[in-house]
Amino acid sequence: MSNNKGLTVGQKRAIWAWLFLVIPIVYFIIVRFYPTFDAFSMSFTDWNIIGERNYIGFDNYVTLFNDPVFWVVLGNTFEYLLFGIPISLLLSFTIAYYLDQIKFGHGLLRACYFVPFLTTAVAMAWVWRWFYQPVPIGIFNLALGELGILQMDFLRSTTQALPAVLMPAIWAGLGFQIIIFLAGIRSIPDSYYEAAKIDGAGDRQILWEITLPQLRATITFIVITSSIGFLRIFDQVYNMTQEGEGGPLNATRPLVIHIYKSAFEDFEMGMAAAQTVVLFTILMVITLLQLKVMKKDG
Amino acid sequence: MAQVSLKNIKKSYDKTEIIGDLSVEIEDKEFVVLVGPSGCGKSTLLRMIAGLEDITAGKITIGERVVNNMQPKDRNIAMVFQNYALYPHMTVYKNISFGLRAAKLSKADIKKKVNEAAEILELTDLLDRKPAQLSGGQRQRVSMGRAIVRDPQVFLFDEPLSNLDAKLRATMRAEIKKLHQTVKTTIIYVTHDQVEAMTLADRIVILKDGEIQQIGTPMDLYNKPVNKFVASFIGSPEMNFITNADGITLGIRPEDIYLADNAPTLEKTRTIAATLILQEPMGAETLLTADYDGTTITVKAPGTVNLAVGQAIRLLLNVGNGHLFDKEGIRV
Repeated sequence: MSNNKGLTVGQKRAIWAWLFLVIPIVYFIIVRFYPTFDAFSMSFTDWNIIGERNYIGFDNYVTLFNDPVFWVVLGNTFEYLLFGIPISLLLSFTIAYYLDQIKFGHGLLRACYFVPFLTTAVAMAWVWRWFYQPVPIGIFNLALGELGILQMDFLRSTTQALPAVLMPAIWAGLGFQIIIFLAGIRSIPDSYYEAAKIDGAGDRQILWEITLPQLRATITFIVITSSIGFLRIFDQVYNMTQEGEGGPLNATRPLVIHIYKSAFEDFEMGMAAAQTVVLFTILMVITLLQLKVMKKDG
Repeated sequence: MAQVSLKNIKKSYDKTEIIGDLSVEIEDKEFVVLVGPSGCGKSTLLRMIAGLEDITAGKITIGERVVNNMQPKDRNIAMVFQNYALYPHMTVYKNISFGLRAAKLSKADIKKKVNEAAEILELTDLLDRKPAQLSGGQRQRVSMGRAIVRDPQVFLFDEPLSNLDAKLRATMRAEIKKLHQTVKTTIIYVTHDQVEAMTLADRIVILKDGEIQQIGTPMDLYNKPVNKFVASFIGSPEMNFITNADGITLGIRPEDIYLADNAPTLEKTRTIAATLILQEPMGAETLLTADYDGTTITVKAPGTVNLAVGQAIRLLLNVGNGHLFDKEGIRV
């Protein structure tokens, strides 16, 4: 029978779909996946960007793990994460929770929170850098002066610099998290709240037993995306510290700056690649862990 | 004692009036069904009794207390929602005990009450499940369980069966009726389904455009509809209306029309000639649709009927059971 000649409708559809997907697939393989895998092999070499790539085994990793600065940097990176996540989560949820309850000025307020997310990180970092200056430039110290409180060193202090850099990073991401939280809060059916109200639940019980559990997927998403964001922090540190070094005394230097300096100032590409692999591993483990924790009895 | 009294209730959103001056007295332990087409204000009325909507004017009394400005939780009511409003992340046990936890009862008391409710509703084996693992009927029972554990003065049901298939709806209808006989609490039940209204209610309140059309027992409404709207709303298939030259309408139910050759002896009758346009065998009976001078007449004939579509037929109307309505549709 000649009717069966040619392809089925399903096969034709699949061919068309693949045709459209070819360009992005080729792009991703060349621009994203190949360099990623290349980084793994590069981390086992002593490449200095122009010379030969000589295989040196785990030497880069051994040097890295014996370098005290690397551990300081790794510690800083986790500090950004461990302070950044809870603070930004708490702030964005609280703002979204109350923003959802107001009608007047809702759109304007939401826009105000979202603007930092749209603004260039470099510009924001420099503005904040000025905020942190001593009097008469820095508004924070001006305000402290007005209140009769002692001046702060902020970016010049080894203990205050990291939180000072973290602040604008949290602020910049807040708008996005608020929008996501708002969408999550709005997708909870009204009847849940009405039933709870009739059953006599107070605000606390409603928050802990209905709103937050219902936002589990939203929270997972925000925690994962912002974890990745904080672990990869760069712009703020690069633009708010002297020469973009992540100082003073490496007090604010995160892993990505460390990688950047190794690669493009010291030209130790193999070493930089090894650090990249470490960062990649950390990101993957954290993401998988979070997915697993959040999925449990979800 | 929990009689519910609605006095001169009004509700409007901005300038749109939803309910205009409505009063009903509901007795203690009575099962009252609010029924009407969509948009008639029945759900709004229920939500106002619950305290989920403000009233624009009037007075709502539950028991001895005026509840106009009371929070829902202080009204001593429980409500079953159309979509059940079960919390998907909680087990059946947690769902049922939600209100008891809110009331800060001791763990032992909560357990006792939940188990009692589960016993009544046959949910004992399902207490550890989550709503997603339950069938529609089971979810419905859980949401009733959540209502009864709180031992409220009044139960409010908002179209509780409309998400269920026909067969389950019939079963759940019977369960709700049984439940009312067991717990003996005032029930206010909203539905758009006249069968539910007829089978469940002690009294039915028929609403249209925010106004009460008639209040009465199911048989009152069936036998003495005050207007054409009530007459056509109650009973299935719908009542037939035949209008004469003076504008007077005769309303006659499909079960009061017979095929003339096959009719019992009746006192007051009228015979008309019509053309058969549709024949629907239902097994125990056959629904015939006929055309009588441009008026469509539905006949519920017992047993099987073997006629040809397009055939001329003679119908005997049992006028003794008919209803007369004037030009405005008011019973005369």
